[in-house]
Amino acid sequence: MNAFVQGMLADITPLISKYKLQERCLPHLWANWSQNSQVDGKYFCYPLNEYSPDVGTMIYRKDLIAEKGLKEPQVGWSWEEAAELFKGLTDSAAGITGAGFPTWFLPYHMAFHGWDILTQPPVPAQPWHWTRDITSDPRWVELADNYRKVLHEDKAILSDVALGGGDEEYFKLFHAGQIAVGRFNYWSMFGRPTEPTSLSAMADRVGTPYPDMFGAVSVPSGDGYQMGNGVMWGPVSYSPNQTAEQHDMGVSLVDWMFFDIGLDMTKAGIWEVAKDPRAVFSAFLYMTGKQGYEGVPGSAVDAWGQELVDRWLEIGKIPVEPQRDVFFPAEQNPAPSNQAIDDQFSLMVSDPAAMDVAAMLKKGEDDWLAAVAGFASSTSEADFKAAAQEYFAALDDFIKTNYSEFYANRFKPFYEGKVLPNIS
Amino acid sequence: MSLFPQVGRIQPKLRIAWWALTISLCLGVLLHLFPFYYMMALSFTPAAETLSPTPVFFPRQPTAAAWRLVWVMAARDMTLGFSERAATLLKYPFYVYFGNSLFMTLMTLALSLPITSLAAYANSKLLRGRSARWTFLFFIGTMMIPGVVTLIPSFLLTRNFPFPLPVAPNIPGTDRQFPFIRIWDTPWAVIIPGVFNAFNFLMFKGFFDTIPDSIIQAARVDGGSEFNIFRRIVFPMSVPVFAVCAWLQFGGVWESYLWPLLTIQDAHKQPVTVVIARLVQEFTRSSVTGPNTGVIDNPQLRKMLEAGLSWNGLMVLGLLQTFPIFVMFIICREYLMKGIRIRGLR
Amino acid sequence: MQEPLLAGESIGTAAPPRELSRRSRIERILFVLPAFLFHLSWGWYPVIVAFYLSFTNSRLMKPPDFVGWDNYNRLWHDPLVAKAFQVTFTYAALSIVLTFVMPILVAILLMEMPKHVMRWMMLLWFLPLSGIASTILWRYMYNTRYGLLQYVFTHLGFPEQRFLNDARLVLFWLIFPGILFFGPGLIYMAALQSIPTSYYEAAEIEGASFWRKIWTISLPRLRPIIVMMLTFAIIGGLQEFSWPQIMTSPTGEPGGAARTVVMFIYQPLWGMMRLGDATALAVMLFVVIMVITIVYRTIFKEDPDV
Repeated sequence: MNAFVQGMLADITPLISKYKLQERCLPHLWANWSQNSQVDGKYFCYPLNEYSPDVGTMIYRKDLIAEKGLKEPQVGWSWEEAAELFKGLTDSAAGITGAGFPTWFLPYHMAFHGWDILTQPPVPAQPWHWTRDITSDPRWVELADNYRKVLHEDKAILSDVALGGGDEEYFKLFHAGQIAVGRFNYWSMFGRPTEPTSLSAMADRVGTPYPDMFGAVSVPSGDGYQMGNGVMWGPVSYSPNQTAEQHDMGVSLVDWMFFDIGLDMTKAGIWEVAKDPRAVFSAFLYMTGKQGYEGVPGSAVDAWGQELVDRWLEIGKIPVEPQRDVFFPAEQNPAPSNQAIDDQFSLMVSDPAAMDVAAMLKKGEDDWLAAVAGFASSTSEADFKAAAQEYFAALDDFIKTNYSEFYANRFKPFYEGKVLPNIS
Repeated sequence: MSLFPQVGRIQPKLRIAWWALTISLCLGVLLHLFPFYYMMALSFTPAAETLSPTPVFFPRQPTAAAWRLVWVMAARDMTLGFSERAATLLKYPFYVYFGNSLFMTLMTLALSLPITSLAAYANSKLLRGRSARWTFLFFIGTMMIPGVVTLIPSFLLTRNFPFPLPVAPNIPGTDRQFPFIRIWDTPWAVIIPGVFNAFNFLMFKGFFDTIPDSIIQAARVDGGSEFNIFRRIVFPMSVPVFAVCAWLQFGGVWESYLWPLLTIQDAHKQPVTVVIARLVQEFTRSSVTGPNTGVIDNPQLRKMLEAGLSWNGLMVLGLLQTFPIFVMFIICREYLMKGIRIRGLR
Repeated sequence: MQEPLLAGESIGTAAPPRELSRRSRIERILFVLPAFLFHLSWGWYPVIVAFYLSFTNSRLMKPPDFVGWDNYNRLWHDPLVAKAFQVTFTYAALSIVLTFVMPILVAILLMEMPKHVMRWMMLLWFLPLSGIASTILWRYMYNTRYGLLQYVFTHLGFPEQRFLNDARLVLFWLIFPGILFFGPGLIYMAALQSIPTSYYEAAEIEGASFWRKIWTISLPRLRPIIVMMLTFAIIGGLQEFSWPQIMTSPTGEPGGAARTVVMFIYQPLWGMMRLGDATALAVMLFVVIMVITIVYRTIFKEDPDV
């Protein structure tokens, strides 16, 4: 989006309607893609059809859960249920830890309880128009304490700085059977069986059918709120230095390859070589909702089982909340980072000793506030107020509709107490 | 053997001391060599064993799978039908990248050692007083500046020297751009900025300072240009310093990763560090597929991948990366020892 | 062969006498010219540009606007910047204390071995391990579940260590692998071999013991080199970046305990495209390094040129 604003990408809005993109995509996917791929009504990219619900998914070992007689997680499960599950799966004799997450999982976990919304009140009157308010709400301390308990006392979660900040090392542990739940994305779930690091290969090796071995679920949420799943897709953008005909040719090529016959041909080709539905359907989530292909018998259900396919479609349906970037004018000046607060979280995760979490959060907040004094936004107070009113009205609407419990207990007090007085 | 007394060697106290010294030095060597041994051992261990909580000093089931895997990837042996993903990572056979690294490194050395040493000699012996002081500061002043600062300006300069801008400006009043030199995306982007090496300058100067002036004076009386004096007298004396500087600079350029990553785009010209870093990433990724990657159906390769895709594969890559530095070290050590022989034998 | 001189002595100056100065002046300039040109264009020029950028709100694609002292002000008030400096000083100090002395000692002691042994020892002691290889190996060894060091600790009866996860000890663990690295020893050996044995013999006749000989002969000879290497160690230690970053994380986990100033420049400053701030912080670091170096050089006044 930034690149487009700076004039580095071409505007291809007419082509979107020419190729009838909106009509061919499933409505909730279109809504999400459209929101993020345009600025002021001008579109700057064309999708590659394939998408993945990339933010906030976990993969778990179904067979281990069955073995221990635990309850299988459902989309929208709560943190309390998750903690129970992790504890139940931990088996130090067998060398299995319930879950393994990178060290940044704690703030991420907070986000699933509304952290991003509830701790950032707008303050148009100050040079930088957003502030942080962490310490006025004891719920954050509760959540952090609870996470630390599961992590350090129950030892049901594995986190190690030496494993790096990415998913790869944790995936290796999952693959080796040392953790039973991990925060991985859609891609890592549906690897080809012939790639030995894929889960399909692991299932083959162990001898259990894939659908009985693995399951997917959303990241546990809380307080009745589910952070809107980001949906990831590959966009194709075009250079502004090309002509309109060139853009047309480019878009038609992408369209043909990924939306049209080209997709069928690709899938048929893979089927011919591999003759394994898992290889063909290693990608099966498409904006058009297309599930069957010419020349390929069967569907994703044959590859992965009805339950899993349904589960992923369900995860993809979690509504996406209004995104701040869309409502507010692009920021020209440097922005403060969240590092001070992230540092405190990092300490909470890395040190099992008893800690005063409230004091640590306060320190993070104080440090952040000390730093933000040096920042000024490029947006004027009036512009910001206007944008904030729109944004929060949309957010209010969204949460009221989708998460009534969260709305009543958490969002409404925040909205009325901290937001409205500032932006009216 | 100068620290131990010459007389009375046979005394038991001295012999014990000497042996104690030798033994502790040997132990120290073993400790120092341990990481190498460990890496070698790990490279022959099957992947699952590398993850076990009890450390493996000697693999229970040694396997050369990791080495074979790296060789396959390096030789790009397509007959084994290995994944296109890896094939696109290594567009060219491994020796191309090795050659790039070698060219960059040796060329830098070839230019840098003469230029830097001559400047250091001038600063040490030919210049006097204030001019010497100021040139010294000029040459080493930038060492105290964190490299990260100059990263972007330097990058822009490789594109449009001498203009540190994304696009060279137009000559005022006309539509034409100023002439500029672009060394970006060539090995020269790595070589040219490395020609003057402040660290080597300091090393050379420090060493030249220890050469007594009387020797230089005597040579001058005999006539001949300063350059000849340098060539015939000073240079042979300084072989050890040249050896050390050559080795250190070799290591520095060979290992450089960030700068080549930024300035060289064409895969054909990339050095080995960038390529190995990509391979390491590939080795550690979880399995990510897209609709267009190929399919591995060769059981041999499958077995290799199974055994090699973990820490052992990474160790192999690490060793490969180290190997040329190791070779260069041996070469330079020869010269260092020669220097010792020339001056040390009494 | 004339006796080489100890540091500080000299017989007249080496600069050529006035009569020859015309030709040698040209030669002098020619000696220095190529280095001068290269260093001006690729050493100082980028630095000057960077200095200028630190007073702007530089962005990569658009021309920067001048903002005066804004960036410096902002950094001055950021508690994380102070923390980064603190980490950097600790790291540099720890690194020097732990890893500086060993190579000197090793080099001195190695000179005692017979020639062929010394050859082998030199090979083995100073063998380099490439940077990437080191990171791979040590991250593996520091792993809290299956790492070698954990095994050693637990079997020696110590409690389980958290290694890189421990905010108080992470700096120590980062420096620990450096203790085994004796690379600079080669440089010391190159200098030591110029000391004639007659010095040692003379000292022995006067009744000097083993350690006294080291103290009065070897070390003074090494002094200029040691001072120089210490300068590098200080300057380099204060700029440490890639090792802590790869071993822990780009943000210097845990909790920023491993975040040096240069790491702070990369993340979050560069990461958030705050280029003006990034260059300003780099300039601040430069000033700090220069002050420390000047103080250090006046204490160890060794080089008359500076």
